[in-house]
Amino acid sequence: MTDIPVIEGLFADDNDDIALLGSHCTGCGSDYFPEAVGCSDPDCTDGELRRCELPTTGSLYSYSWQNYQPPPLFALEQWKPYAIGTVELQPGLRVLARLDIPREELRIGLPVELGRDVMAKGGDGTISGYVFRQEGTS
Amino acid sequence: MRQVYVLGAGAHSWGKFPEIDQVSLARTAIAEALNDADLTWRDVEGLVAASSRFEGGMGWGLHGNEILQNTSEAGIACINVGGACAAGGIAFTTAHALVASGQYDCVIAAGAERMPKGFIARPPGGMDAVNDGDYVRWKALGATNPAYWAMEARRRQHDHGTSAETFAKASVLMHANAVGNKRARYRKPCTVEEVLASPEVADPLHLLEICAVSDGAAAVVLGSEHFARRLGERALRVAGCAAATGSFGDPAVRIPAVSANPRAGVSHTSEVVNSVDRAMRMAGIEHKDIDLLEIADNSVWQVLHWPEMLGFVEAGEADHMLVCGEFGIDGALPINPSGGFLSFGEATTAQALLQICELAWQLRGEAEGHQVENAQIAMSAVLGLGANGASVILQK
Ligand SMILES: [Zn+2]
Repeated sequence: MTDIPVIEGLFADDNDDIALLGSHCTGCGSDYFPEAVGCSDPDCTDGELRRCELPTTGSLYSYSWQNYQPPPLFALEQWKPYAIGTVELQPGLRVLARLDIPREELRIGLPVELGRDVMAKGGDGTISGYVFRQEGTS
Repeated sequence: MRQVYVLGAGAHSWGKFPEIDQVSLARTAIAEALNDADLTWRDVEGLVAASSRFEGGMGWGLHGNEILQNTSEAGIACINVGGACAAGGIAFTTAHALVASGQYDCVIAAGAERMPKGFIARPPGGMDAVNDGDYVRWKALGATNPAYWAMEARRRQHDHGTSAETFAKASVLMHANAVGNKRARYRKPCTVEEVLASPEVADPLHLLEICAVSDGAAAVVLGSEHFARRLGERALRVAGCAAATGSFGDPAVRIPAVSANPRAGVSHTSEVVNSVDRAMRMAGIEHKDIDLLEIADNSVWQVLHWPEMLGFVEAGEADHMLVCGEFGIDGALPINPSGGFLSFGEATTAQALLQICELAWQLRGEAEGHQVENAQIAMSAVLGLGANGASVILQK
């Protein structure tokens, strides 16, 4: 059995230590997710982007409960309504994520931490994705 | 720069027309606009068509050359511009520049769209790379467009205390405006109770609080003083128009991105704010001079947030304005007297041109059934995926 990330290069997943992969700009210090081709700060002209691991904890900036099934490209095999949210990882960086949090627990400001989940099972392995969970629950 | 005028406006009705191809939709809209301007294809020197480019270079939308091949092969300039849902506004701005520069005296801006059913999905054929936000959001997150608006709406509830009823009232207003508009797709009035009882799509947004997708087409004929004089009072001055992109540090997670890099002092949805600021500077007018606004109400959240972010009302004040009726056709600042996207459904690249047609009909007093009394200056503002914004100001 092999375990492959839903998109190659989206996150690092070694021995259950998961981290989102992004780009850090050596010029202005901006962090991007996912990895970017170039820095978007118009005042930053000579920065180089280096692959980096992003913080794994943050707070919930906003969220929604998605009740309709997204189009078929979505890798989640056993679809059911789920939470999606924006997580502030650090000042100046917010990322979109699926949330593995019960609906009644969702609130803005909730401390969350990154985790992995199985999105689909194939014949010879599993497809893994990233989710945020309430801090301290995993 | 020469003064440019809107000479004619035309639109196919909005709805689902599986039997009608895109070129035919466009031809109907253009024929109406030309007839409205009392001109023929022989007068036209340029066509700018609105289409769309997504991450990875894929796209859809109108191919202007196809219209010419099926209508009038007279050697005129044909320019296809991208800009996603703002493409119609960008096509207008491009056509404006062609006339303002003195290069041409009569140019058409046109948009026509046939939309697939359901959520607007990713066009096929991309590289599917990790740095393609559109791929990541669909593949890994299943993040539909309504989910993005829903997260904004949820945050607004946190920041400004907007209630579910107030959001619902924005939908009620848009649908009420459309009752008298023969061109709208949904013309049935609705109540707060009906809005809140409609299926929850992405909490806190219900089905009647997000826009559907529609087929439709719209066209505007732009011209110089030469043609405007012939038309007399029906010609409308283009007081201002601008296309813009976003600013670094915008706090919005823009569709289809999966992150934001907020920085202090940068506007939310900055691509639209930038286009509106620029169009207003060009027109030399202030907020109080504008008699009506047509904005991109992809959901009820925009109906409340956009008048604030564009500087028409203070942050957090829109709820009160809406509830007091100030955003209505008879209010202090009519928002979407047409009924907006919520009543038309969005025919993406054509939508901004429909907004501009609506400005023209309002200023000429031809907005039968939804007329804003004595409107002199009208503004449109639209947002397109990929950080595209466009705004147009017409003046009687
Ligand atoms: Zn930089």
